[in-house]
Amino acid sequence: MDILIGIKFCGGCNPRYDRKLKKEEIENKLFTFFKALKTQFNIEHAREDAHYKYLIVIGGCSTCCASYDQYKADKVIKIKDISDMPIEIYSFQEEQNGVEEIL
Amino acid sequence: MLMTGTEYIESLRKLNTRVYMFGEKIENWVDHPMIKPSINCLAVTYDLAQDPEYADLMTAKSSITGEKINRFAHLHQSSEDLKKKVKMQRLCGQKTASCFQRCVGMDAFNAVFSTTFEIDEKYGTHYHENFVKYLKYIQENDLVVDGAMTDPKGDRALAPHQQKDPDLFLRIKEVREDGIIVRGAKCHQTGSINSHEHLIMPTIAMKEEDKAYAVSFAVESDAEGVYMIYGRQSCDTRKMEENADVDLGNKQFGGQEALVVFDDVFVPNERVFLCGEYDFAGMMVERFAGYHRQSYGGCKVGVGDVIIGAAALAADYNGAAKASHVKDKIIEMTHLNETLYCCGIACSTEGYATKAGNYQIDLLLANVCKQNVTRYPYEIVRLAEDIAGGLMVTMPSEKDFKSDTVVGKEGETIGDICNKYFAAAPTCSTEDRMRILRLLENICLGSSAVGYRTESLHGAGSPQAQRIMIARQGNISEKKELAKAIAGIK
Repeated sequence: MDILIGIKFCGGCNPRYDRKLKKEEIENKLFTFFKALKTQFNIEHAREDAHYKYLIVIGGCSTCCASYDQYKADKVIKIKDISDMPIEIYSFQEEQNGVEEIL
Repeated sequence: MLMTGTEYIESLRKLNTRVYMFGEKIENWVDHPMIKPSINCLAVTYDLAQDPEYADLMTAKSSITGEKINRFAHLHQSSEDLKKKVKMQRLCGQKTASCFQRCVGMDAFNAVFSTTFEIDEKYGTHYHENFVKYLKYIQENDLVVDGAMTDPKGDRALAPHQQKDPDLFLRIKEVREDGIIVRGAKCHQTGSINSHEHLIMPTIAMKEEDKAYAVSFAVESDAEGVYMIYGRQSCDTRKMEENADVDLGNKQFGGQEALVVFDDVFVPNERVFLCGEYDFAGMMVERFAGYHRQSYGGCKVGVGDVIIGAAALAADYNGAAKASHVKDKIIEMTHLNETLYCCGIACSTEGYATKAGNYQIDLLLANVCKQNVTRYPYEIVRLAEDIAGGLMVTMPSEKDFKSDTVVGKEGETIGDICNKYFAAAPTCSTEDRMRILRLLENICLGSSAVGYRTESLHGAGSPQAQRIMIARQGNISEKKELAKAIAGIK
């Protein structure tokens, strides 16, 4: 079964970094990561009628005020800074087969 | 259903709104070069709501239907909602560098919603039920509503009923079985021409003698008897110049105000939300003003963000960015701007639930917010003009910069001469320098100064109105007790 990942942006009133670029960076990293694991994944803007393995909330500042209670997700990961990455997802491989960290 | 910006603009074309400008009726006002930028601003409030990057601020779940709606049509359900409102306004200010006009409706919705609940509670009327039905219609159709409060007011020393001309405050002319006939006008109406609907509120607290003036209702903008006379703005006819671009400073966006006249307009009962219950006029005014004074802690901050960015760019382009006094001025502008934001967030954080269930801002802090807004933008533009330099207001026109008319002894054109003498730091083109200076001119003293300067002073009530509220809310007696306790006075 494909891993379903949702992305939710904060509203962007005074972002300290480019959230769109960050989303692309995260998508690229996850593509590499899941490809190495030979695991299919889908990433999309969060919808209320979906259930996500991971919901990544990209906030433009440390407040990260985006609301996300309306979404169903096993795990919520918050990005609050340009250097943040959804590293929690990397533990996915350990859950699956216990292999060493790839990224 | 949420509309796109394009759908919003098309929806305006279906209205038969009567608009007058320069003494004439404007038939195609949607495409009029002086009006279009203000329509573009409102279109942004629709387009941002469609964009996942901004939707968290721009949309909300309706407390009436449970559906996703534009936040501009939302009844605030929590302090978090109040804060998101301010953040949304900052965002819209950043994207337009203008007054985007939609907050008056939002502030009116929340004020009328809670006030009608309390009127019904006291008098057994059905205004709240009327209003909830009305707002459901607005939310479901994603409409723009002008929340209209300010009457012409005539002689300020006289109450509404004492005015020589009874129409100087909007009034109930006749009560019929099926509705009311209203007559009068509302001044300075932000975005009125661009609104699908008008939601009218009284302008001051009233006594029994002014019962006929205690009225709140909604009408379509093209209702029989409603018409609008466009308000002039500084440098507005630059927008009428052929191929105008750089000289406009902000080609795409702008604000709008108009005089809205109600020439014996019929309002059906289901659209009436206050009709003679004069003791609630003050509550409606105070609540709307409170929300609107909070609003300025968001929208003006967003425009301030653009001014600070433009001033910093002007410093770069002038080659002055490293000067310590320039750096300090940018810091001061930022400090002033973020202080306004602090006030907007603070009065939201201290918000509380009304009897009707929606959230109201802290009145004292909202009034402090607006009082600061009457001052700080003036200092921000002063500093911006300081950094920009005099060229901001002495620069030749775009046509000169592009002119190929030969004027020099060696065949130089007017354009060559302008580009030669107005070049500055090698990191920018003369055109870019001209663009950023014109943007500053537009906001500091051009057409957008209506929104950033004078609206900051008088919009949502002139400075003295906030001082009266601050005096009422200041809790001075408690402060005296604090001082007595410390001083050992019994």
